[in-house]
Amino acid sequence: MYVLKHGMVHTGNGDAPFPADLRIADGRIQEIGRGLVCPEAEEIDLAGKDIFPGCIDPVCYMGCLNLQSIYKDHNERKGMILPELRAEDSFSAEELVYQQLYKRGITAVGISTGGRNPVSGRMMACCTAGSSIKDMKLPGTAPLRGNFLQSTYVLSRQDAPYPLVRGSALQSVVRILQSVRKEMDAGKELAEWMLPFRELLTGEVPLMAAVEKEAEIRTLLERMKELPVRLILFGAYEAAPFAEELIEKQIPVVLGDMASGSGKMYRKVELEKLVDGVKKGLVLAVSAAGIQENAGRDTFFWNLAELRKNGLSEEEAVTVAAKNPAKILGIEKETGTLEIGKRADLTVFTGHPFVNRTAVPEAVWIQGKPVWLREKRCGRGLAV
Amino acid sequence: MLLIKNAEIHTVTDGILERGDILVSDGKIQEVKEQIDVSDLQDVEIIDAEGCCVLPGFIDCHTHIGLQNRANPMLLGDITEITDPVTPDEQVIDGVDISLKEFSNAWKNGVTSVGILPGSANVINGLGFAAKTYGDNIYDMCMKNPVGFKVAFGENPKGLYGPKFMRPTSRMGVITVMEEYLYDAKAYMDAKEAALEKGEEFKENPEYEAAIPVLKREIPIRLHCTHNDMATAADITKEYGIRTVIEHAWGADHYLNELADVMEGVVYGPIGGKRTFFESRRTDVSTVAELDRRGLTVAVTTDSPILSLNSLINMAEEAVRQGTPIDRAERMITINPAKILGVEDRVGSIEPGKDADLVIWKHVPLRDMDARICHVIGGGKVLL
Repeated sequence: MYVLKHGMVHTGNGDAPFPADLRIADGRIQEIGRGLVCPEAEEIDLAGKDIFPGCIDPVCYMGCLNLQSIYKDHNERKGMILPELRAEDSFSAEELVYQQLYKRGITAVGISTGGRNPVSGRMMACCTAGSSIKDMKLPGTAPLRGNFLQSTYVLSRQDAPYPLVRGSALQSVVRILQSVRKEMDAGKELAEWMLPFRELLTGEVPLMAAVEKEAEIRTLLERMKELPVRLILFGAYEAAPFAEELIEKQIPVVLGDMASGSGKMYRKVELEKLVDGVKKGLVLAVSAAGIQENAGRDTFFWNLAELRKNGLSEEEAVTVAAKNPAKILGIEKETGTLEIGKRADLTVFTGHPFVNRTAVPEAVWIQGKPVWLREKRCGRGLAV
Repeated sequence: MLLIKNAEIHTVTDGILERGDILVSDGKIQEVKEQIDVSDLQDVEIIDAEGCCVLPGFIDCHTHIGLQNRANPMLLGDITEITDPVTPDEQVIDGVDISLKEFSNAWKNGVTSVGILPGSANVINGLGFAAKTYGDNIYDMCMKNPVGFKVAFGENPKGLYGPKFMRPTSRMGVITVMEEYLYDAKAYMDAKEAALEKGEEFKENPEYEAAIPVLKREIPIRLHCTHNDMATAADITKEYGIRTVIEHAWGADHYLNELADVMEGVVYGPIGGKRTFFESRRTDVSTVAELDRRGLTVAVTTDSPILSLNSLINMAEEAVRQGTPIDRAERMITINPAKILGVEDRVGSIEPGKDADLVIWKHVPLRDMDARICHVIGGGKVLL
């Protein structure tokens, strides 16, 4: 049991920060308040420090890439519509921990299948330190990953005879959803292969739809209009013109990596409009992953810096970094904000990292345990 | 004429002027002081930079911009002539297309000068040059050509020629290709000098002519070099008495002494990628602070288009986060890369007589997360 004393608490809910103590036991936040006293707990003085919910990167290939090998594990190249595949079956705890995401304050990620198929598989939410999937996997309904963009089919041409264009990729998925829906409406018993599509149609599992260009977003929204699928836009560089529609339909946006490969400049990225959307209710998150490739942990924060330059306030940035991605991954009951009952996934900084460049992580906690301390390096040990 | 008034001026080479004016005419900085009286002058455009700060335009001395169209990744770029591991007389300037978006993206993001180098697919890759990022003719934008002789150790030449069963197929093979070339070039230079002294006719060979400025220490080799290759690089540098700038420098934290003793400079990066098991397996940007303390000329690089040039500031910001003082990090994207390119008499600081490449920022870049560009001035003209 721990009591973190005298820190400045940023809940991630958008509230103004306030000084408070946090009592942590059984991996969760038990109490938040002034002057907490608990004789059996270890007290840690955080005067002058800021406490934030751990950041969450909702799309991450690291952890299922098989980095050492040229044979990658995040894309199944044989087959096209593959909702039965699970990212967790390609998972490597070592590979994810090796990235040291936690040292930068990223405490959870959404492990994702890749960008080569119209439906590439089921994602998995997990924390970023630990020794096996058993400790690291987070409960919740992670999205199914889909890809409805042109660049995917340029790449997969060598592997698959169909689809070759983004239109037919989307149509092939829409047709299946329509036929499954017909069976459901008729009250028929569904074949086993239909079950993942039923989960999409009942809204139980959302669809993480990778799109980047305005035209691709337009097509997706138009063709999905009649279907009760919960969409999340990923990549979504040109999402700004759709902000109003996305707010109305409550479709979240995960802005992909903008640093690599001159990616940003060949797309019409209107960050000011996106930020304006956030202020009106758009659920926005950021990722270090692009459609096909994953950059490293730093670019997650570079995306946030770009948003800050375009008017996102510092507390809104905390929400974008932690609360929104938790919601997107269906783990908002577990983590993403500093609230009583949630997992103690938190970071202690020497200042506000979204205000001051010199603020560095002082300590990172996952599930109520320090996984990294600046002074006394804890290594990767996390005995859950 | 242009007058920037009431700005916080980061001169880079002469500290910070808390509040001052800069007078610009004929494309050059004329005067920098606390107050400049222009009442006697006519046609003076005035920018009131109250509450803003002015820095010199940023410089990335290691890029390949204009050589590959990233909008169409299927096109083979013009970065390196990959038919022979030794192509010393390739002039990379002849492959540059300034209509590619990297150029306008550069100056819009405050990067007004770049070094454009051949790639690292060959061992001996050719000659790079220094240029402005704004303008409409690359030969006019060019400040100096050549500024460096690009050599690559390590995985890239091996990865290209090894599978074709050509030399080099190993890292040690790469070194012998480089040494053979230097040895022959030196013999050629000596023979040429002896012949000219005797007044005999001498048939020139452009392949070896390209090495003469290197052997005479007029330009440095720009050496793609990581990890253990730095020890080899130190040996070769001493043996031939050449000037060497280490490029990328991942793993430099283990070779600090070798580097400080013999190298002219280090260009670190890019950072921000995922951790791999390859050359970028240990990127630790805190190394730049240590190299800087040891008196090396240190710059950071995006390797654009690997990362886009708008990320250059992110690199310097990461250096700040990892312990580099802000004023030293400023140098790593201004005067230091200018020195590495040999154009420090023209760009890289705010001094009378230098080119008027200036960027006016709201808030202080490298310190404030929400710092953003208000104006970009290139060659005395307000570009943005």
